[in-house]
Amino acid sequence: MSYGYYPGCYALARMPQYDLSARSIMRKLDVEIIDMSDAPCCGPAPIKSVDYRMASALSAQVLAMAEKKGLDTIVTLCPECFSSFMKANVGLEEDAGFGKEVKHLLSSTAGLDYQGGVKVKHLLQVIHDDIGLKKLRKDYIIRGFEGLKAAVHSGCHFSRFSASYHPVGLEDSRMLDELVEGLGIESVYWQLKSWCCGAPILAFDRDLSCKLGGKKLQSAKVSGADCIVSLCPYCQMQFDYNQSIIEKKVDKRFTLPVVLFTQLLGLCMGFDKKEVGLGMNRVSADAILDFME
Amino acid sequence: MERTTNLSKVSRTFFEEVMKSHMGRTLSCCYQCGTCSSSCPVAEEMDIKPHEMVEMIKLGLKNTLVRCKALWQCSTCYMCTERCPQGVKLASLILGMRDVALREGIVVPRSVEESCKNLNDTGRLIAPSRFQMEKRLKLKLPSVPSIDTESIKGMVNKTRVADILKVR
Ligand code: SF4
Ligand code: SF4
Repeated sequence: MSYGYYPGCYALARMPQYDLSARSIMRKLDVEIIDMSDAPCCGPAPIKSVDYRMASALSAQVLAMAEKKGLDTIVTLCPECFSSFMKANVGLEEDAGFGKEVKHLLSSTAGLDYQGGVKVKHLLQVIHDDIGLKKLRKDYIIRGFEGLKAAVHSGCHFSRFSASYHPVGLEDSRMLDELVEGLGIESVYWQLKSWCCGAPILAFDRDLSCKLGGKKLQSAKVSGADCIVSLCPYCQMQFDYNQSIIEKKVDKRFTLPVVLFTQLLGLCMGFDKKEVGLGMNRVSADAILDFME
Repeated sequence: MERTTNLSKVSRTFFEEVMKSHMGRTLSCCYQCGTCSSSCPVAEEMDIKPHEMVEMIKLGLKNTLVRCKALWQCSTCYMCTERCPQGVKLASLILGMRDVALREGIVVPRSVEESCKNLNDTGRLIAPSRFQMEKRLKLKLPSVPSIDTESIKGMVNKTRVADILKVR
């Protein structure tokens, strides 16, 4: 079975290390993909702030393109894309009037009809559920970490508003923790673990965004973590690319490496530092390599 | 700020408008437990707290709501929505109220305008720069295809995005 691979604009335009490490591990895991980088925007929060109908029509357009290609599942890297598609699927179904409007907008402009039911998964779910951690450990992981402590951050748009599409909800999902623990890494308790990273308000209120980012980094730091592990390109951007800006704003030093889960997994599957783009992270993540077996 | 309610200012139509909107259905179920506000990572900075917003929608205090700072301080983290025992879809309601604020011409944050412009021009919110394209090439990553924006432009013309871009 092939998945429609939709990396999302941030990984494509600003964070090649995510796209790179994801493609590397998918290739090795024999995850067949049809590249959907040519599909338009997913309809994220800034568009939802202007016109929810348009945002949903954009999500439905991508889903309809997948449907037309005969794909039954889209796999994303970005939780914002993930949640946009999820919400479109649920919203179109739950609210018939709204669904009709959105579908009409889509068919009258893009000439596409979305029948519904294209499944949406984050890459983490493909690895955790479809492949399974047992098989991963048995067949693919050739080395692990020892003594490395990580503050695991699952990202709001992956782990929330979940009751409507996930039977047990994802808020306290340990999916990412389990994956990380399977690599020999300790997932530490940190007080603000489930809080937002602050990235979405960067464009509206820079100070507040940095304040939130600072609280998160501080919380991770005092928990004794050697690094943060993320699965969202925006959280990764906030914690890694913006760490020095946040440090200045809140007048603290963190120097905390931030690593994408695909980079960690890739390393343990035998890829080298370059092949998972570790050097492209802004806060040097070389320190974590000292913990590799 | 209006902490007491002048009933003459109450707008029934606003409440009904929100109620009827997508996501508004469960609004009237709020029983003011405050779970949303105590879960919200930015509530302490907000001039109007999340649970107050819900009550204010019910009271129809549209003018205060669309002008409050909190509307743009919400990080859309969906913690309130996840935890609300009554199924109120607060984060989405906040997004909806932003739309009302934009419609009333009260604020148009530059970043919203930029997002709309990028979407209209490139079909993406963020398009890769030449530098990034070259970087991808060096990494042997497939180049990022350009998007046929015709359908996007068609959509834009039929929605509020056109007003933001002043193309209507
Ligand atoms: S959590 Fe829900 S019910 Fe409680 S105050 Fe907030 S919106 Fe109302
Ligand atoms: S979505 Fe907005 S209002 Fe709700 S908890 Fe997050 S920041 Fe607060």
